[in-house]
Amino acid sequence: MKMVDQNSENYEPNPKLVSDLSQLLHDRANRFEQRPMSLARLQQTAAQVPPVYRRVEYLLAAAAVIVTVGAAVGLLAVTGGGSMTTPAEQVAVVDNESDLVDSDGDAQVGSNRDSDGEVNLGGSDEIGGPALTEGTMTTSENVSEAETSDLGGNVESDMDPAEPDDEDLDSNSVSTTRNRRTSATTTRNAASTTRTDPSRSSTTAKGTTTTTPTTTTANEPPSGGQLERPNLGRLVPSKGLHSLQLSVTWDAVPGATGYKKIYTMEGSEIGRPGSASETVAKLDYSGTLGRQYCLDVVATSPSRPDSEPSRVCSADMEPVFVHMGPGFSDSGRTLNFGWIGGSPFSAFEIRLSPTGEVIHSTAQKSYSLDLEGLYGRLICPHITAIDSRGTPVYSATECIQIPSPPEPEVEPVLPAALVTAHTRFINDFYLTSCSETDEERVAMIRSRLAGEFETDVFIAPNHGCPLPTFNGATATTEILSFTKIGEASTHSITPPWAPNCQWIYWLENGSWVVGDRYCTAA
Amino acid sequence: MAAGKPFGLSGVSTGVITADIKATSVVSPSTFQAKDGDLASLHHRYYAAMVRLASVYVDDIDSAEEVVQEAFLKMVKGRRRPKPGHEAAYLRSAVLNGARSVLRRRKVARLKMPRLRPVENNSHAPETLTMIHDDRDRLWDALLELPERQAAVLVLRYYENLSEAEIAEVLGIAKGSVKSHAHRALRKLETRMGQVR
Repeated sequence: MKMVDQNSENYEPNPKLVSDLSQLLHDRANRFEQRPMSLARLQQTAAQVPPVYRRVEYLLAAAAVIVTVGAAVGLLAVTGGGSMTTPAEQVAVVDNESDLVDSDGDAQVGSNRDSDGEVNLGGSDEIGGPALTEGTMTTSENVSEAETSDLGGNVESDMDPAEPDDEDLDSNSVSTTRNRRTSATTTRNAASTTRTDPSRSSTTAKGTTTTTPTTTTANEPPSGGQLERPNLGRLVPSKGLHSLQLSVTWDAVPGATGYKKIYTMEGSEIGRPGSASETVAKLDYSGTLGRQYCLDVVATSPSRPDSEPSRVCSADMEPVFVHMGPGFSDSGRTLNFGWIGGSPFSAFEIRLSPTGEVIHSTAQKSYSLDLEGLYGRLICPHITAIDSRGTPVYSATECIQIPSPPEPEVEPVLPAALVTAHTRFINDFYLTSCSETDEERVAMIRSRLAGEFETDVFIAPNHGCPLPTFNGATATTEILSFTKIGEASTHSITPPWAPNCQWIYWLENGSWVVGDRYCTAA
Repeated sequence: MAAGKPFGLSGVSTGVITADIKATSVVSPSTFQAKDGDLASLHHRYYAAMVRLASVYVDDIDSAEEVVQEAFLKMVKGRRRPKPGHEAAYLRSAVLNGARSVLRRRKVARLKMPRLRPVENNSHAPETLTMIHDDRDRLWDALLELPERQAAVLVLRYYENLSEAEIAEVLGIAKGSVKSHAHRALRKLETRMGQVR
């Protein structure tokens, strides 16, 4: 019986929610500036993919092998002599079967690897629709597997004689190269980084912008000895808009057919070890900033003992700026910046370029710099990780241009000239109304200026009437303070004793400008 | 030994088997030519749109491009290839699966970690940046907490503007299921966002 969800039949979604959701999805989809994808590269990669084998062919092939081996063993038992296959060759039988793995090999039973060779702990809860994965015959954890991105890694050369450059061998090499991009708005001082651990020295220098992780095959005959340890490069961070990825590459180990990668975070292993033939490992580090992350890589081969593990940890990574931007504190504007890396180190020294002045030493991985006095300058915080012996180990520099401070909001200030002018006005007034009391004069001034100024009048002591004439040496004994009200651009006051005269004043560039007194003919 | 090398065995019978398998598995150059043409056409037509679709989920352009590249590769090399005219649905499905796979890996890695806490004395520490949420973040978080199929229905409906029939084809489910998934998903989002009517 068909079940019908009655609720969904007449359901009308919340329009705001739908609008918000649609906007959110479109915004997310258009966050990134799209880059042209090389079709040639995609075609080249596609050409590397071994064609998919039919499941029935697998079964036939496997059955034939089993029958053949069984027959050989039986024949050996009957004849009682000779050896048709060496143990190594028998191992090789199993190994080479894995070469027939579906190119969609990420569906290997029990495998926790993904196409990147990264740890993939999630269950295979893929959305339905076209089937994207196939069950495969995977025989051993250590067997090199053909993964989706390991495209063509195990292809025999006679299957595809046109062998491309290493760089083009797999999709991972493409993306890894792209991930080395440095933000255009920042400047990384690659030359400032030093590394003191010779045991992990690598030809992959810090700051290298391209890597050549390649899919390797066992290109040397088994010699029976233990494989050499992979010589790991350094963890190289690459920043996206909202992500930080760590990657490490290493040179192919002679005789190795695969590399087991064991990820640990804060000492706990993440998932089961992954294995792939490519010589690159990547991990999204965005959610674990500042946490200790380690990777152990073991070279494997079906015919030789595994190598000793080689380890690289995020602690060995130079500081990487993950945030730099403006902020505010109680004291004013600040530049906030934070970084990761160098976990075990006891201190970080912050220098300001170009002065070289040490402005702070901290064990924290963030700092807030007061911008007072630094406006308009190029500021380059230079972070140096200091180990427990006080030795600088790693350093990083990133620059930011501090913009000029915003123009302060200028309060109109009455210039002294205006005060003087009005003092003269008062003197003029004074001379014509000497008989009145101070209070009456103040009231008269206030009423005369009403609508133009908020006035306050201070009557200085020891003054009296009559005052010196207007043209006398010192006539001012009163101080008038006032503030402007109103927004008109030009103002004037007409003194009562000179109705045909005006005092002109105006506001210009935030300051009061006082004109002269203009009079018309009486 | 040369005849049986791919299996690492000597003997005539295994050599024959090897030869048979190789004969059926190797794609002839002429076949490749045809595929290259198809790939170029499909790539030109769908690549940018698929990168944007992947970008809805993943948080960096590199991952988005990688997801799309693998979707294309699966389409031209996978055992089950789409019928002509159904490439878009196939690609959408592959991209959705690939992008969700990327998110799963990141989520699991984060779950393995202690909960991030704000760093005292400095509210701008990098660790705290991931804790800043606004309504859009809440909505996105709520979408990610939906069952994958429900979330996919919403993305295909409100980003790709697909019809119920088209969504049903992409997800390989019945048209009625699309409707019920959308209903349940929106109900959950409304509850999470406090927009229950």
